[in-house]
Amino acid sequence: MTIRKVLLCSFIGVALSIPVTLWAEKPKPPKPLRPVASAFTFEIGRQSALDTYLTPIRYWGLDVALGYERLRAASFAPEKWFTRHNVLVNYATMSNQSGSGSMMSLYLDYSFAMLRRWRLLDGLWVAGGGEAALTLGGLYNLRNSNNPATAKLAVDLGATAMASYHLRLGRLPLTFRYQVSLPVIGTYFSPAFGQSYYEMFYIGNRSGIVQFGAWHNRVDLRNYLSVDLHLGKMALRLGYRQLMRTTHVNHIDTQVLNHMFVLGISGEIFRTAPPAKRVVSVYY
Amino acid sequence: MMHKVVRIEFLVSLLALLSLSSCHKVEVYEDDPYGNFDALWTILDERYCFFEYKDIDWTQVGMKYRKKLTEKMTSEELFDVCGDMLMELKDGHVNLIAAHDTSRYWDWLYSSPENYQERLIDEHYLNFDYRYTSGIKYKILPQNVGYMYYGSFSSAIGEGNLDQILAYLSSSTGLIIDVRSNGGGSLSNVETLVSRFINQETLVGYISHKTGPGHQEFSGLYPIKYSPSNRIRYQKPVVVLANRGTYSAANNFVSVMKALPNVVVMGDITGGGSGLPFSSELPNGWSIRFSASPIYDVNRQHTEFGVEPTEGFKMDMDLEQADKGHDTILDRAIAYITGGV
Repeated sequence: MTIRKVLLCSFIGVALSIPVTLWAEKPKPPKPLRPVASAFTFEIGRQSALDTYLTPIRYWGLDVALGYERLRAASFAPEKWFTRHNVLVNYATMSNQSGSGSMMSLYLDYSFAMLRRWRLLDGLWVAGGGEAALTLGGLYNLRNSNNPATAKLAVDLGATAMASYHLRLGRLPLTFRYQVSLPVIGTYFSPAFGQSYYEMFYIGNRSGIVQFGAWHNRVDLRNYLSVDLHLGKMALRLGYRQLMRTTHVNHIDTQVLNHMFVLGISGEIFRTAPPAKRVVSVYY
Repeated sequence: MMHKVVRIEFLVSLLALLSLSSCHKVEVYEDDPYGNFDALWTILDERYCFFEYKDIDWTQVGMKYRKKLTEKMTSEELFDVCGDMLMELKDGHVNLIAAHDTSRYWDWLYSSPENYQERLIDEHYLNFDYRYTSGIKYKILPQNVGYMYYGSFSSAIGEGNLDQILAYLSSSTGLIIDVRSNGGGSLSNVETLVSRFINQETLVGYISHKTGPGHQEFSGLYPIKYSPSNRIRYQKPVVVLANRGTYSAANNFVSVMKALPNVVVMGDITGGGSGLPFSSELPNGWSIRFSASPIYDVNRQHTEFGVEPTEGFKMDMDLEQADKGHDTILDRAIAYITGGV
């Protein structure tokens, strides 16, 4: 290879590397910190339950619940999208109007949602998106014979929306929030009209126990209204939660309603100490 | 403008869809004599499983007893009217349960000989000396015949206990299983016990359930199969003793055992009770139990009114002999095992 060819190759190589080098050296926008907004809540209220597989009589009683939520801006578009996890365990002990019968219920709800948000005004934004939810639980009537309990198992996909408004009351920062979830389609468990759990799970006749769920046979609705009173790094959360679970399938009606007062703590958790970086908070 | 109209239509549609399920109306009855009576009648009308089999015109029955209601009747008077109406079902699994009383149909018992005297067995056959576990009395009788008395299928049978019982009785030439006056209990105990007398997966009957409120709305018959126990199993001749007090799960046990080879059923027709009972309740808090899901024998027949003994082995106890200390039904079972007669 002649010296001329070597020089030519070197020139071409350098020429090709320049744009790459220039592109590689272009400064990236710094990744913003995405703090986790968490809340732990204790909830107390009232539940009414009607499940005609167990009884045609409605039961009422005390409901207590523990809740956890976790919100965080999405990594791919933190300014626009965020994720939300909700976990709620609630237990109710109820009686009928005459006081002769008792019923207990236990539910575990988990949901994961991804929402797109829009800032409307300073401190006010709204969001909407999709949500996947899992419900496990059941109702237990203490005096029934071979139909003492009915299990509740459901997997749903649905729509959810949120709105948040941040303001100051004197020197106290407040964050008001409203959240609604409406499952649209899913699957859920239901026995047939007069089918015993003995037949389903002891004898093994499980055909037809999984139902396709949509608004013609199942409507759930979850409303959540809260206000966070920011006291230093953490906030005191006060709120109201309303849950509605209804099904109408196999001539069996289920209507479970909860109204709960919410008390909890919330705050944002940084995985590293916040340096002088841009922070994308989910709703503060 | 067009967008606005579309949005309003969407909202209206959404609300209409929500109303399909969430607002589905569930009948609410008043807590008064008429409301409670109607609630009881409707629960049974929609859920009781033997109207067709027993040829009962429930509408006529309801009209007959509703006429007996008055606005000002007492709770106990209402209970009596409701209880009388339930008697029309001729079903021992039907009970109206109030704080002051429980309605029950036991006519089939009252109109039959008892055919079992516990004291007679304990004194003259067991000599008040027997082993007892899991609700089962057991002993090897002097004729080298094993005897076990199981008084209630509500007494849970432990597998380990059953091992002990069958190991102890293994040297006998045959076994008598006495379920006379056994009023039933858990069907899982039926399987636990039967699984010691079968050697392969065995079809023992069928189950069905209501699929809707109509009197003919039932699912197809689903087979019930039992698997043999992998523990001690009894292989010698077995005699099952039954009477009219052998009811519900015990009735089911007899129907299952009767279909097995090497098993003979002696005594009287069982009491029946082949509907798996469910419960519900009335606005005033009374609880109602009723047959909801029929269980059939291996020949797809109802056993609601009882199971016949094996042909040639139907008999009543001789009460004169009983006074002399002899249970003639048990004597026949012993003779069958020792001599095959």
